[in-house]
Amino acid sequence: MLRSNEISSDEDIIRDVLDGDTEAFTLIVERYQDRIFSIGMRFLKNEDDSRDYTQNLFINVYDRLESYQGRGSFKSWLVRAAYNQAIDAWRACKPEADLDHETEAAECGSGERELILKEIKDILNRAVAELPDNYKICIDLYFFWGLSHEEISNITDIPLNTIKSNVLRAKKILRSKLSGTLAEEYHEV
Amino acid sequence: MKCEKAMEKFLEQDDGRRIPIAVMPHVLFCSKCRMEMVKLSNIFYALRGDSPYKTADMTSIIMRSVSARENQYHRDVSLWQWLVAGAVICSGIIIVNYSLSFLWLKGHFGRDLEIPLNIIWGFIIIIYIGSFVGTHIDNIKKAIEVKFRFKI
Repeated sequence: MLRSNEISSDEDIIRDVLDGDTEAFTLIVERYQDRIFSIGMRFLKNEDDSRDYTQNLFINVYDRLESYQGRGSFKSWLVRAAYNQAIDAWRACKPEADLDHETEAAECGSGERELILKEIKDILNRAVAELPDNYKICIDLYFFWGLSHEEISNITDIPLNTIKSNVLRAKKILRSKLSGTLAEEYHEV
Repeated sequence: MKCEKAMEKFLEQDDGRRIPIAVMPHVLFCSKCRMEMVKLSNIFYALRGDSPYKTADMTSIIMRSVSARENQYHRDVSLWQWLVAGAVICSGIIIVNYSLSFLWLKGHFGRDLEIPLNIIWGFIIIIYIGSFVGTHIDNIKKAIEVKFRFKI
């Protein structure tokens, strides 16, 4: 039974897929494709490889859905799979860094809200530009995926205190760089 | 508590949407910190669900590959549910003999009732066994091949 993307939780959708409603998996793809693509971009640095990575990841996730046994959130399980697959893909191709590409956040529409979000994302990208790739991922997992410090540490095997200090540093930079920007003028983003 | 210390405590916490209890007394009297924390909370919340990069919609490509997978998932009726259904059918066959309606019918029609009733029970049992065999044909085939060591 296909449900509205806004209403159903990930776990409800997965239950439907395991009951035979394959089309329900569309909601998972729509919900997470951009963020999975972003993980690919952090490691692989180019769009074509990241799109291939995204496609392969979702197919692997579908094949292994039965191994998600409801322990913890589906989002954490998905991120763990995405992270591990990204590491494997990165090891296979070891791309060159492209700092110019890295610092520019994606264009995301021309509305006021979208412009504000782009400004914030640009600030975040500059804040993490100096960090190694797997630390940048931690910032993405915190801000864009909404994972806790502990969840990120469990997925990436980076020490908890390191995650906390990197996230705190990114928040402080975000706070200081926001002054004088569009984002600062608006309380409701 | 000074403003910088309050802001430090706010930024340190995991959940950017909450104001820590230790900071609340300061926030009650300091409108500057209160507004800044609300603004930052809104920004942290707005980022969730967004992504640093966007891709062209890949849903149809991905779903085409997913739909072509051989291992499509389907709902299985567990063995316990089959056993319970079988137990309900057997109990029904036994219990109905003692129901008042059946006794009245038997009194009225005598032995003429037995044949049609047994045909009905037979149909119900055949449908049950047929459904079970039909939905487990692969498992039954495998079990026979393993037990009797020949391929069906």
